[in-house]
Amino acid sequence: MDVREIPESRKPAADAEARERERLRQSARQHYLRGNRFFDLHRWDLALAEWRRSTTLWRMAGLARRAMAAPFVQIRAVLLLLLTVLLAYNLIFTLFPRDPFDALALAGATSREDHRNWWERWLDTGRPQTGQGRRVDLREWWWRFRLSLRERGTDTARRGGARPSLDDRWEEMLRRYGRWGVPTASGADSFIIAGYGLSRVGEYEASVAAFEKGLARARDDLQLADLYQGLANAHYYQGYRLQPDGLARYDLALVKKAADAYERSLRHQERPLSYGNLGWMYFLLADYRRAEVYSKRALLLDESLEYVRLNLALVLLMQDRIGESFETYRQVVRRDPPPEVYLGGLNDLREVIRDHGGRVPYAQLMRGLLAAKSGDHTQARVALTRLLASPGVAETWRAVARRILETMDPAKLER
Amino acid sequence: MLLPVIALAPAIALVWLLSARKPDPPESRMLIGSLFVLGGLSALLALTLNHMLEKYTALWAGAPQADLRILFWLVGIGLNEEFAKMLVLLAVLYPRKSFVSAYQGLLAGATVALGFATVENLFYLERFGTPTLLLRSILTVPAHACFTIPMGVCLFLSKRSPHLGGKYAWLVAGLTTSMVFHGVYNIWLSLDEDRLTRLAYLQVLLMALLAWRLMRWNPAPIAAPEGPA
Repeated sequence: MDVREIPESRKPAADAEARERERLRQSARQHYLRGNRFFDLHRWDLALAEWRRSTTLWRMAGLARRAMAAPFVQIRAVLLLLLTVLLAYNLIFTLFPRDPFDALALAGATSREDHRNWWERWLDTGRPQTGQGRRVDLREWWWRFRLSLRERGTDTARRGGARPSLDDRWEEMLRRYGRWGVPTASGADSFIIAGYGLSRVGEYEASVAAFEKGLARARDDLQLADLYQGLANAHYYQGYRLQPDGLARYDLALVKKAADAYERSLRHQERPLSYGNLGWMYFLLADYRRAEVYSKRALLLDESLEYVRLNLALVLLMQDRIGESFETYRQVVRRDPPPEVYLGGLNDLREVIRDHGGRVPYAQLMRGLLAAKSGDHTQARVALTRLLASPGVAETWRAVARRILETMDPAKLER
Repeated sequence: MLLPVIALAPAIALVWLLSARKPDPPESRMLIGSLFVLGGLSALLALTLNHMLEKYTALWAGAPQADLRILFWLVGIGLNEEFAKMLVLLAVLYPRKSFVSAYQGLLAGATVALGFATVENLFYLERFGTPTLLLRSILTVPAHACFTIPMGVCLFLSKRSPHLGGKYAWLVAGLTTSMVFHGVYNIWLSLDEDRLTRLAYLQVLLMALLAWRLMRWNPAPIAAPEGPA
């Protein structure tokens, strides 16, 4: 292009372009000559490399005009890439959102009875720690960072005579006296003991911390299964609130955490108790399909778990499978379990009646059956009378209720 | 005091090994050091991105569905960690006028990745002790370098390309390659089967061979290096 054809305003750019093209051509020529020299010295590979460079530079001289005509092309490419990555993240977060219930429970946990600061709440993903050592996450990193700071403080404090924390003392005592046997190489067993001990005295947060520490050190499947099971129990009891009427209320965010931990425990070792508890967690989370599957699996592994059978009956009841539920309750009754099993089953039914009211009228029937068989005739009579007064109850079940009432009638029994 | 040195040693040894072959033009030690430190800092960004992914999406390491777990390792962790490294390269290396050869990209990519791996090593050392660290030194530290080496080379190819489309395509190709390498490696390690976990070793070997080929590859530089004709 002739410089004279270019408008005055674009002259400097055109000059720069011409200079760049000339520089590239000169450079190409130098490489070409250098290649010739290598060729004369029989250094074929170096000569070839120089000629290749020369060719590329010659081509680039031709392309320089286009490149110069598009300033900031590099920045635009980077910006495009950043937009692409942003789009990718947008897709990931849109296509795979967290379970709405899960997210809701997590949000709920931040507002109720949660004394952590916003940073600690943000760090909490609501998922159990993976613990297998494949990855260190932000929560764990922060936790370790804080711990190391605290340990530094503790060292200083110890020198000043301050008392170490309870789990530190557990470790120290086990190391010194080995009362529970020689600690294993990973040290995870001491955390299992500490975790359960702390849980027993109601220190659930410390118990969770002990189990999580143990998870960081555990190696074999047995330890991991134990630790996850303990962690799940601790989370469950963390969210368990006993009311004055003897019934419980649950923090569903913690129930979800417990469910996740039981699932992880089961991945390391199949245990009927863990399946049973997992079924109960899903019942509380109103995921009745999973609750049924896990309860049945627990009973398949150990049919003597009466509390799981009661849970299964409750799950069936909540799915409006009244016949199956009633039959399951009758199975429990036939096996003549101890009084505490009846009490547990009755309390669960009372909680259902409290939370769901008239929506589950047949809960009164099941309560009547259990109460009658456990000898609590007053409660049975109240429950069955309420059932008979409820609208929309099928005649078949009314007849069953009447029959149970009759069996409790002392006059009839005497006859 | 000795333990942090153990955590640092494998990464520094690899950077030294890669720098032994001087790129054309040679990179300053200052730049290499900065890339290493910034690579380490990018690990914190990656941790944050990983955390957000785990907290706000259904993708996490313990997801009950296998497809969600695979996506977590591949698209989640792979993308987050490689994108964090790429940001360092885009901020420090890519705009430099002296970035003219493929080997510079390779060396910078590996250095950032090794800085990243060092910070990870420090976490793992604290958590799992020296035996894990030694295993990571053999496997994961070189693996990180191998994930990011193709990205460094793609950055060079992007820089060399005169068109916007070409530049963009090479950047995307670099990020995608590294992400897939990283994600697949994570998937092997996340499997419970020991036999399958060993595939990670095979992958590192194959990636090392690719890195070796890239080191020997000598494409035309972007502009002629200074020097007598």
